[in-house]
Amino acid sequence: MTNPKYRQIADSLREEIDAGVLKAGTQLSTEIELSGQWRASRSTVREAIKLLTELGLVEARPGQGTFVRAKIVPFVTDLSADPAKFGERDGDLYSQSVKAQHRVPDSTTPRVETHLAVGEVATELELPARSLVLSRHQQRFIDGQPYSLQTSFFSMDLVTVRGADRLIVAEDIREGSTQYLRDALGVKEAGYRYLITVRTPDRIETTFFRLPEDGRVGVFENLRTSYDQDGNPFRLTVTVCPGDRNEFVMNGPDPDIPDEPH
Amino acid sequence: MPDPLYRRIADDLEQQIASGVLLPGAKLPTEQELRAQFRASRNTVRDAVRFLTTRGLVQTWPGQGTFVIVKTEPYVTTLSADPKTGLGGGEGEAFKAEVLAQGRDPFTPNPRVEIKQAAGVIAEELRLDAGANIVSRHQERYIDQAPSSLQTSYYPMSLVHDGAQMLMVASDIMPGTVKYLGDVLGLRQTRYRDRITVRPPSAEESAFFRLPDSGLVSVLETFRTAFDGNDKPFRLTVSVYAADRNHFAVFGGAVPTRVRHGQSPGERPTQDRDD
Repeated sequence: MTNPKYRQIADSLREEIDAGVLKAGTQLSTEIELSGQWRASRSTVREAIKLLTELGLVEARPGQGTFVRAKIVPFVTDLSADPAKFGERDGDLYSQSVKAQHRVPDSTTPRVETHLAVGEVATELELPARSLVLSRHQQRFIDGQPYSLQTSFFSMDLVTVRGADRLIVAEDIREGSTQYLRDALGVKEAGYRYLITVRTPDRIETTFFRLPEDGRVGVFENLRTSYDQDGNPFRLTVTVCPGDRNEFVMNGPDPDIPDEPH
Repeated sequence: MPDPLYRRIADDLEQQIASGVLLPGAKLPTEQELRAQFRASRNTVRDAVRFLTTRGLVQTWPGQGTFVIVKTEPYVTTLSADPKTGLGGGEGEAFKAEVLAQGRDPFTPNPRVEIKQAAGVIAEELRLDAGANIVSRHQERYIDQAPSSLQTSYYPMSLVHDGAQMLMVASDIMPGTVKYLGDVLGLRQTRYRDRITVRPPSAEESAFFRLPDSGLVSVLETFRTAFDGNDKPFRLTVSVYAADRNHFAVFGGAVPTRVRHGQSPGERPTQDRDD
């Protein structure tokens, strides 16, 4: 398979940036220097720099040269169950974990919509196709920068049959929907499953997250399905967040939480 | 959010691929044709094609068009611990067992074993001084003959000095490294921590995974640090997965058996399996 020279040059510079050999603010060698060093044409070197620019690793300052950009500090989301907090308030869990990382969280007022369930929403909530569902969508920011887009889906039955009226109000549920459903309906989150996938961002996401147009920065699309004490799914949360500023941790095993009841 | 138009176009094309209307190797309708068919803008059609590209369903050849590629069913790696063993999925012998359990065919050539000096993230995670000797065991992994992931485990050289000689041997350690280290050194893995990141592939990775040159397929990189009974890290495993053919699951708390064993949404076993 091909391993074009511009990729070799870009990979090598990226390794030096990742390893901290080239620190933020350092000027890269000039085009002429790099082409001499790599025995490559200047257009090849230019392509390598272009790739690094698209990846957000370096930036050109007109008339001065190309410089290593300050690294984005990734936000770390813990996917493991915290026995102390499990099934409890989840609303401020996010803002608390942002604050714990000494950063400032913010999110928009939720946009509440109703839909007919199709695709993964129907499958994950185990609803017949075209059942009525409602969604709550929020944009989330950290230190003023866009970090994630989150949409939670619920069966409309929770509202119309069981009376969880606050779900259809376009207003933040301060204690979180897990806590609310527990208090209002006695629906307790007993377990969850994350399904983690990575794909290219679409146009809305590219604009919102201010990602390079060419789609080289992938986004995580994480599905989190919550199950109640009877093993029935009651919420699906889809979170889309760019890979250049988000990472996840998971601690195993979780000793304090019982496994599935038999 | 209602499904945006590009997702509906992608779904429609995916249906045609799944049902065999569009066979592997077939050319997709042109951008113009798709625009007319769905009354969509150029950008919307491009988003749909991009979406299918990242799912590993189609590949665009400059100047020729977009073609259906041989579909690889995404493989699901469970990162959270197996409730019975307490060990995480996706490594060593567990990898083979998991792949077989999903009715698929695993293949791992012999590992490449190297002695290296710890630096950067490896030194940090293993809490070693930079320059300390480490054993690196690197393995290519295939599922159904397609390249699936690259895995490298790093061990402090002190484990070898203490008697774990097999770490230096360039063949699979049966029945698994954790078991082996338990047998010879009495080392027990009590917990582990995964860090999950995503980034563009390096040139080498692109070549191994045969990724499109467009750079639209990212790689997922997981860093797993394993700790012994004294909470001392004794192993770092770095795995690189092509994102178009790998998905990941994490379970917490009590999850119904059918979900734990269901390999992907939409593919629920009709009966709960119990083991």
